[in-house]
Amino acid sequence: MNGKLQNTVVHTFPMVSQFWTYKPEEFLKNPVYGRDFPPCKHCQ
Amino acid sequence: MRSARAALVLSVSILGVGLAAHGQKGPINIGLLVPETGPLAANGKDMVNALKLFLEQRQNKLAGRPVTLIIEDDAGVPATGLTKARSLIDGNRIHVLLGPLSAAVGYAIAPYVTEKKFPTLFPIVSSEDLTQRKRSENIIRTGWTSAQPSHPFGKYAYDTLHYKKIAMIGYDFSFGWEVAAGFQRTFEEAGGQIVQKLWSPLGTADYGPYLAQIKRDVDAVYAVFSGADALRFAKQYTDAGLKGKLPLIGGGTFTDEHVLRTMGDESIGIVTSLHYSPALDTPANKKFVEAYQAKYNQVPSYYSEGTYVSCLALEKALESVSGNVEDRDKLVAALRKVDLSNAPRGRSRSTSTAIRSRTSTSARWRR
Repeated sequence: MNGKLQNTVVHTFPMVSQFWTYKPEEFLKNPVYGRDFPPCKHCQ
Repeated sequence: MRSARAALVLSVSILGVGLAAHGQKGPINIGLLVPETGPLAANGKDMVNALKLFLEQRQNKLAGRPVTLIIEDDAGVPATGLTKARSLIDGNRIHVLLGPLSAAVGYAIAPYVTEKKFPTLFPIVSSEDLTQRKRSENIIRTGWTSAQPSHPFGKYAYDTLHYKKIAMIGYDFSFGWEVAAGFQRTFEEAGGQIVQKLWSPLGTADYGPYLAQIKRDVDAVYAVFSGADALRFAKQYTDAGLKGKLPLIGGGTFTDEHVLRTMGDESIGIVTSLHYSPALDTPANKKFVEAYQAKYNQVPSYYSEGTYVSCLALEKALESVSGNVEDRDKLVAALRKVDLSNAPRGRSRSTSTAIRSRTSTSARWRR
C-alpha cells in the first residue's frame, strides 16, 4: 500500500492455547519439541 | 499470557533508583532487559518504543504511582543478561522485570529470577519449556510459545491450502526446531507428510547449498527464520528461481514487520502464522497501530506489540493490588490471573496450565 509492503490477515484462529487442542497433561508427557521430535518418519 | 494493569510513570533512565520504604508510595521501578547493542538491537528498539509509548499514554503513572523505567542492555548475550538482571534485582533497583528478547538470555535468567521469586514478565521469549515442563511461578509470559501459532497453521496448510508434501528449512537451534515441530505435528496428523528437514545456523550468509538440496517434488517449502536471515533466505530463494515454482510458507517471524520493512517483492505471497499482525481489523489494534505509527512513523512489529501487552498485563495486575508492588507474592498472583480483553492481538488470558491468545494469524504480504 502506498509503495510499502504490508500484510493481509487471511485467517484468524480464536483463543489458541500453547497446547492447541491437546490435553495439557498428555502434551507434557512428550519430550519438548526439538530437532528429532516429532521424528521425520517420511524423510528419506 | 498474564496481564495486569497499572498506571505507570516512566522516566527513561539508566540510573539506579532506590526503592521506596514499605508503606510509602514512591515510584514503581520497572526494569527492562533488552538488547540495545549487537545483532538484535533493532528488535530491542521496537520493545523500548512500545514501552515508552505505553507510559506516555498513561502519563507515567500506574495504579496512582509514578513510574521509573530503568533500561539495561543485555546485548543478546546470556552472561551479560544474567549480570544485568542481578544488578537490577540484587541492587534493589526495581520492583518488576520485563524482558528479555533472546531465548538464550531468557533461559539464563530464569533460574535466578525463580530463586528470587521476582515478578518477571517475558514479552517475547518463546521457548516452549519455560511455561511447560520447566515452569516458573513468577515468570509471566505474555507473548507466545514457539509452536503456538504453528499448531493451527499445520492443519490449515493441509485442509485449506491443500498441501500434501512439504519440505522444511529453519534455524538449527531450539527456536527453529520448536516452530517447525508444531507445524509438522498437526500437518501430519491432518494427513500431510513432511518429507525433508534442513537446518542452518544463525547468520548463514549463503543459502545456496541448502537451496540446492530442497526437494523439488513438494507442494511447498516451510521456513523458520527472522531478521537478517529471513531477508537473505527470501532473496536467495527468489534468485535461485524457486519462487513461483515452490510456494513459500513459514513461521511468523519470517515476515513480521521487523523484516518486512526492508523486504522487497520476494516477500509477496508468503503465508505465515503468528499470534499478532498489525493488520488485524479490531478497534484495539487499530488504536495501537495508529498511536505507534504517529509516534515512530513505523508499523509496529510483534516485538512492539508483545511488550505493549506486557504493559497492559502489568497495569491490570497493579490496579488489582492497589499499586502495592512491595508485596511480590501478591503481585505475582495478580499477574497470573490477568484476563485482557483489550490487547491489540485480541483477548488474552492466563490459565493455570496454559497461555491463551485470541488470535493466531496467517498473513500474506502484498504491496
